[in-house]
Parts: sequence; structure tokens; C-alpha cells
Amino acid sequence: MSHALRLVERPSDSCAGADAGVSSSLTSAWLSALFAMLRLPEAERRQIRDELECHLEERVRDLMVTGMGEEQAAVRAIAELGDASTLARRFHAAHSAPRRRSIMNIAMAGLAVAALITGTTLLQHQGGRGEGSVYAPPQAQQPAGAPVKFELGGAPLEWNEFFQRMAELHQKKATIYWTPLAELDTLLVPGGNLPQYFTGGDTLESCIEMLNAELRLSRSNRLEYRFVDDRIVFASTAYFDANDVALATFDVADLVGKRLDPKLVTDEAVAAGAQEIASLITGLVEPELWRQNDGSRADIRTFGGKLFVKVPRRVLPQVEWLLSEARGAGPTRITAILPVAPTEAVEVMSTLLLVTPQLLIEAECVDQNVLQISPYLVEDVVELPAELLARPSTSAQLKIGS
Amino acid sequence: MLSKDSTRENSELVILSLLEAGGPLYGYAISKEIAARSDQQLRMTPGVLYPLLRELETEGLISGSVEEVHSDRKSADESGPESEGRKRKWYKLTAKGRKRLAARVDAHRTWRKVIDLFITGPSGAAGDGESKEAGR
Repeated sequence: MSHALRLVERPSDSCAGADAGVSSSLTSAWLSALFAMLRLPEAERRQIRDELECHLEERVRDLMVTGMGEEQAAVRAIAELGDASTLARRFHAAHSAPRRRSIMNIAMAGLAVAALITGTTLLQHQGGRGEGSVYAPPQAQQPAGAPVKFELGGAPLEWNEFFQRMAELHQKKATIYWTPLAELDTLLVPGGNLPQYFTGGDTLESCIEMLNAELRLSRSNRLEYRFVDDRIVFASTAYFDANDVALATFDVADLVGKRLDPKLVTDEAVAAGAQEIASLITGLVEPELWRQNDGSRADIRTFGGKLFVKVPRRVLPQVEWLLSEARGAGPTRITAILPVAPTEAVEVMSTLLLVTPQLLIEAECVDQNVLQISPYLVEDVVELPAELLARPSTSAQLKIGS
Repeated sequence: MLSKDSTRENSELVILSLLEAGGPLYGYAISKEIAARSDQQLRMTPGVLYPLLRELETEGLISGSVEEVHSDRKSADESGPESEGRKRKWYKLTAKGRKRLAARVDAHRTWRKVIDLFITGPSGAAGDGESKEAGR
């Protein structure tokens, strides 16, 4: 290799020599977009803009020297810098030093990482506006009609009486499943009293909500009701979940395939991708319900590129939403699978170690002895040696040292 | 010893080493230098490099100074009274950066030694990996 120091001699023409033509308007537009996204002190924003402007000019000039047209060179130079919003985010992280480690760790989820991040961001920041869809749990279980106010007199009220009166106010009969209710709270029995701080509410829904709060019951198993014909059924979430199960199947082969380099789409890769999606679901959608997490109310299996899901019907929309988000999302398209057979892992690591900090997502020392390499590389990692991409494999954990 | 952030630390090591060996450098020159020195095997994309430079500067490991580069062919749409020319930012190592570099080099050598032990395989002579070359 001829040594590169020559490359960095202070050039006399420097970055000022590039043509101020098509490339200039393209790069200006990109820089303006970035500039608008930077939430940093003004002086710092200007410095970043100046520095990148200089970089782009010089890069365009270099590419043109290789025979590339001006416009093509500008497009390429901009592409190398990547998406402006991603870059802005990195500058923000750099500004607030000490690290952007936590972001990287989140991304460990691997496949569908884009979907995950997009979805989470939407949930946290957009509250449903904009183009992304946001899953909202179904609200009203109460049929249309005027709210029924329920007020408690001075004396303690027994649960049995409360349920009966609620049903009467709605001109319905009460059906009460005491066994599941007793599992929620030892006082939730026919002769037990309602919590003493409960005084009533404006609707059945608000009354139940307050009672759940008073009893400190969790989201996954609490007091619930359903209107069924001429009755109101009172029971627990677990009871309703067990009696209203949906079995669904989702073909996710397209979702996996779309994120892979076409030449890397193999049956194994698709199956591994489907498995990743399954863990995304069991990790995000009411995790405690899944058999995979020692729960008992939901189950998910993969078969090739298909997911088979058995869940309480109320949970199904969340699964559907997550998958549709994964389908629609995509700034961080996965373009390659890095094969990591245990014997190759260290070599792969040492080869690619310096390519980009994005590799933190894919390969890092979990602790002093374990090097964990995940099979997915994101788009930022460019120009991987072809021989490293030849064989699909799952991720590997390696023990280093003794 | 081995750290959880080895990739980031190695990127840092590369940049600090380049600045120590090659004197003040600007961003684009650093990226070309990395590619050239590694015989094109390593690339640090600009989208990663510039934020990292900013981070190292924030940490006080490198310091930047801006040089104005006058152009005789300025962009027509570049407005503003003060837009005299392009501003290139040169980076150099600080004393703190030099200390950090020494620590990184140390850690890197330890790391390589451990990896070498691993590469020699289960029957390999654990403990005498001192002089062996790394995987590549």
C-alpha cells in the first residue's frame, strides 16, 4: 500500500475549488435540511454546517476526478453522509457526550429495529398524529346511552350488592364469576366490602377503574366486565382472556425478505427473521401473557416465514399493529446477514471492528469474557468483504479467555 | 482490560493515532487516511466520523481550529455578507488526548493478546500468545 500521508498534505486548492453548479444546489439543499434539524447552540450549528459543506465540496471534486459527472458525484457524496435526520441525531448525541450507548443497546433487538424505534417514538411523542399509526387499546365497553352515576351511601357496601346495583342501573342482570374474582383479591368475595375510600363514579367504567386502582390490581389481571345480551358479566381479565381466544396466522416472509439483501434470502434466514419478529412481539405486547415468558394466556410459534399466534382477542390488535408498523417502517433497512460461526467470529470482529460504531449494535463485549455478535448489520456498514457474507448463521456467543 | 465499548474505543484509537502521527488533519483527510492506511479495508463513513470528531472535541481529547479557505469560484446561492470562503476545520491532539491515546494503545495490546489466545484454539498454548500476530 502506498502510504497515505501524501493524501493529507495540506492541499493548495483545498475545498474551495469545486464547481459551484448543480452539485452546489444539491448539497446546499441537503445542508439546509440538516441545519434545520440541528438543535444545538447557533455557533455549533454553523461550525457543523461549514465543516460538512467543506467535506461535500472536496468529496464531489474527488469523485469527479474519477470520471463521475457532477450531479452523480454530489448525489453519491450526500449518500455517504446518510440521512440528515440520522446525522442530526448523532450530532445531538455527540454534543451531550458521554455516549450514545443506550441508543445502540436498544438497537440490539436486531431485525425490525426500525419498526421498533419508529413505533416507540410515535407512541411517546406523536400521540397518534402524523403518518404513523398508533395502537390504542379499545376504549368503551359500555353500550351507548347516558352515563350512569353511582353514589355510595355512608355504610360499607358489599361486592355482591355493588354488582347487582350496577346491573340494575343499566337495566340488566348481573352475572358474577366469583372464583376468578377471588383470585384478584381475597376480599373480592360475595360478603366482602368495597374499599373504604371508594365513593362512587360517573360511569360503570370509571367506577371499575377506581376500584382497580384502590385494589392496586395490575393491567394484566384486574376486575373487568362485559355487556352480554341482557346481562353484565363481572369477572377478571384472566377469565375473559381464557374465554375469548383468537388464533391468527401472519405471513412475515415478505417482511423479513424486504430487509435483506436479495441474494441472502434463504429459508434459514427467513425462519431466523420470523423468530426475531416473534421475540419482538413477546417482548413488547403484554410480555407477561406469553408462554415464552412463563405466562399462560398467549402463545406464538413460527413455521418457516409464518407466525402462528394464539392470544386473547383483545391483544390481537396490538400484534397486528406492531406487524403493520414493521412493514411500513424502514429508515434502517437491514442489508446483510453477517455469518458468525463461532470459529469465525473473532476474525470477523477484528476485520470489521473499526468500520463504524454502528457495529456496536452487532458486535460487542457483553462483559469481560463474552463477545456477542448478532447476525444483522445495518445499512451504515458499507462494503463488507464478500466472503464474510457467504453463509447464513445464527448469532454466536463466544467465551474469551478462561 | 476488555471493555464493553471496544468498537467505539477502537475508532477513537484510530483517530487519535492519526492525529498524533500526521499532525493537524481535517475531517475528510482523516477519512481518506483511514481508508488508505488500511489498504481500503477499513472505512469510516462521514456520517459516523464527523459526530465522533465532535464528541472527541467535546471531551477535550482533540481541539479544532477553523481556517478560512478563499475561493475564486464561490457558489452563487451562498448568501450572507460574511460568506467570504469555505471554512475548514483542522483537528489536533490535546494533552488530554495524548494521555487517552496511551491508555487506548495499552488496552488494545491487551485485547489483541487475549484474542490471540483464543485464535490459537482449545489446544493452543494458552498464556504464550505474547508474540503472535492478530487474526489479520
